[in-house]
Amino acid sequence: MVNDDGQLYTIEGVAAALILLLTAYMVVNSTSVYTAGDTHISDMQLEVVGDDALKMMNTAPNSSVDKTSLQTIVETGDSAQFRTMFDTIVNAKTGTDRDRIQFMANVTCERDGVVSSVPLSESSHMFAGGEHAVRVSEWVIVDSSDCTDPSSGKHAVLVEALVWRD
Amino acid sequence: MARLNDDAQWIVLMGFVVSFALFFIAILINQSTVVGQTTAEAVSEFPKTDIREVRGMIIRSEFLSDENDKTTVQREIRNLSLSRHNAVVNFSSNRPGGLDPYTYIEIHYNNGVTAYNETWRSE
Amino acid sequence: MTDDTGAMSIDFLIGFTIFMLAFIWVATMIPGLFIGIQSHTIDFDAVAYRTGVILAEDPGDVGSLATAGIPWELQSNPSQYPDKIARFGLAVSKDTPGILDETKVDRFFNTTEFVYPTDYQKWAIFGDFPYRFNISLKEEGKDTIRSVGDIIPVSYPYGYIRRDVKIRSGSNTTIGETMIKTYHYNNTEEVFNHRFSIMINTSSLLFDDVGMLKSPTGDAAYRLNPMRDRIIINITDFDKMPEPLKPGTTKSVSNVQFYTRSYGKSTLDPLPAVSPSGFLYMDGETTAVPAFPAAFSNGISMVFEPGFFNTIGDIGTDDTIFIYLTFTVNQKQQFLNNTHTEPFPYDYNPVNVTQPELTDAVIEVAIW
Repeated sequence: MVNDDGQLYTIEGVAAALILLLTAYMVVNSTSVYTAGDTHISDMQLEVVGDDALKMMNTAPNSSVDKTSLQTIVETGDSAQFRTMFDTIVNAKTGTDRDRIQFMANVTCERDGVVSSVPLSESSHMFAGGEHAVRVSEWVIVDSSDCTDPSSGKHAVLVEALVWRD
Repeated sequence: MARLNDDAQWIVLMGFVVSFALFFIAILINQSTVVGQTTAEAVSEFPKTDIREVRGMIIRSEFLSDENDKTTVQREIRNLSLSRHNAVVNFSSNRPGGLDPYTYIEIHYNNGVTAYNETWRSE
Repeated sequence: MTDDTGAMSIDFLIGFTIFMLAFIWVATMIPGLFIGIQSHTIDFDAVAYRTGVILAEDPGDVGSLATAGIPWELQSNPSQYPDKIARFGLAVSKDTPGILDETKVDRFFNTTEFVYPTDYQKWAIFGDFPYRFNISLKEEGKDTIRSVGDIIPVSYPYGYIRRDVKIRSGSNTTIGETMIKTYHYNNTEEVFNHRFSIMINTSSLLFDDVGMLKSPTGDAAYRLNPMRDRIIINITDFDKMPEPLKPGTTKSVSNVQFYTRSYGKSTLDPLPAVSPSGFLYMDGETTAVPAFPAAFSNGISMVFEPGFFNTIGDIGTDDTIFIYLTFTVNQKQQFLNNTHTEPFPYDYNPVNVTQPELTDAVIEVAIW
């Protein structure tokens, strides 16, 4: 006795399973196009904290201080001081652990009518080019710096920092 | 060949139903991803800190005691904003005169996407 | 036809098993699909960002039932009248983003007064969804972490933002030997009762230049507001003025009176008497003295909590506050007394007053 619809359930089962798996595969593929990095949320967080850190460095601790730390650092080109201070502020967390934000800062100014930059400081992990970095900046008015015209007088310069997590 | 037997088609139908459900969920997930993305992009793209910083600088520069310093700093604010923040920054001031004891500064900021205008008055 | 049912049953079992296996596999995958994306997709990060901005950059706001002219952090009894507060915000002013006021921070983290989570959801988090959250703050150089909220989940992600800020402390002064000699507060007659006056010029504090900083460029962060900030006045070195006191001298504060002087006037208007239990501390003790006269041995402190001067009378922003201390000694002699010199000025001179300090701090907001 041959029954030719004997394998029908099996075939349909396999077909249904194939459809399911194919759909799941497509769903996983299509949603994983957007990952956390692609949504720029980590960029936003980096930008906020980097901006804050530069701003706090450019805030005097009390009204008797006539120059902020950032002004002094730019005027003297004190790379080590910038590294210590920025690292302390930008990587601070409320817990005992610390963040791993790396940075590379330079000073941008106008010299002889041309906008140019000179490096100011960088963290222990050098910028290799592959990192996903965001740029933050802070305006400072300085009396002199490595960047501006050596002529006397005050200048507006922009301290820019690339920040990234390694 | 025997008659067409459609007894087992409900299994493949279930497969289809579940697949459609999955697609529906996938669409939801994608939509919610877009929420996070647009939020982060809106935050990153709206130049809140740029505007605030340049505004503070303009006000500070207006009260520099030395006229030469003021001219230099204000020129540098315009040029650096244009080259580094891709923003056209323009401003002009009215110093106290006559019966009006206040300083007014008109500030315009435009980076092509966001424009910001303000008439600042000293207190 | 007899064994048809058996063949069908095995076929059905195989087909259905294959289908079920695939279904279960896909079904178990779905929650993982959701969780992996959840925190970065639903608006937790956006809410965390918004809360961070409100806390770090906004001075907060009062609601419709608020006492006029008083900021949110000094509104009394908001748990009974929730409409007194519209929004928490820790910044000193709207012109000083990132600079937080110590008074606001203290009030914000007062979890005995504000109820977690409802009050914080209403005034800091916002939104209809009952978000759970943890807001913590750590000041540089201090070991304690201030926080409000639940424990941050470890097993699944959450929305997060971190803000680097500065916290502005209150001001204080210690009137000691150097200042007494510089200002000649010791050059007095030999009597039993001595008066020492302190002047807090509200309009000068509110509108004059702050140290190096000229209004309107960046002075707001350092400005003292006697109506809002904590003011601490310590007086020490009583035994050195101008030379050691006579042996067997006992000394006490017999009264503290408050006066105001309106702008452009020369007369002083007395304010109602205030119990010393609200502000007067002797010899470094932690409880205030209950009543006058109050004997002391080497030092007194007056701690005027934020809003103190609002509560004792109607003081305008143009008024100058005078604090008159009356000291009584049991033997006629010279003592701390500035009746014939000038009142001690509580001002922006760092020699007179230790100015507010801004210390680094970090805020973390987690939302889930």
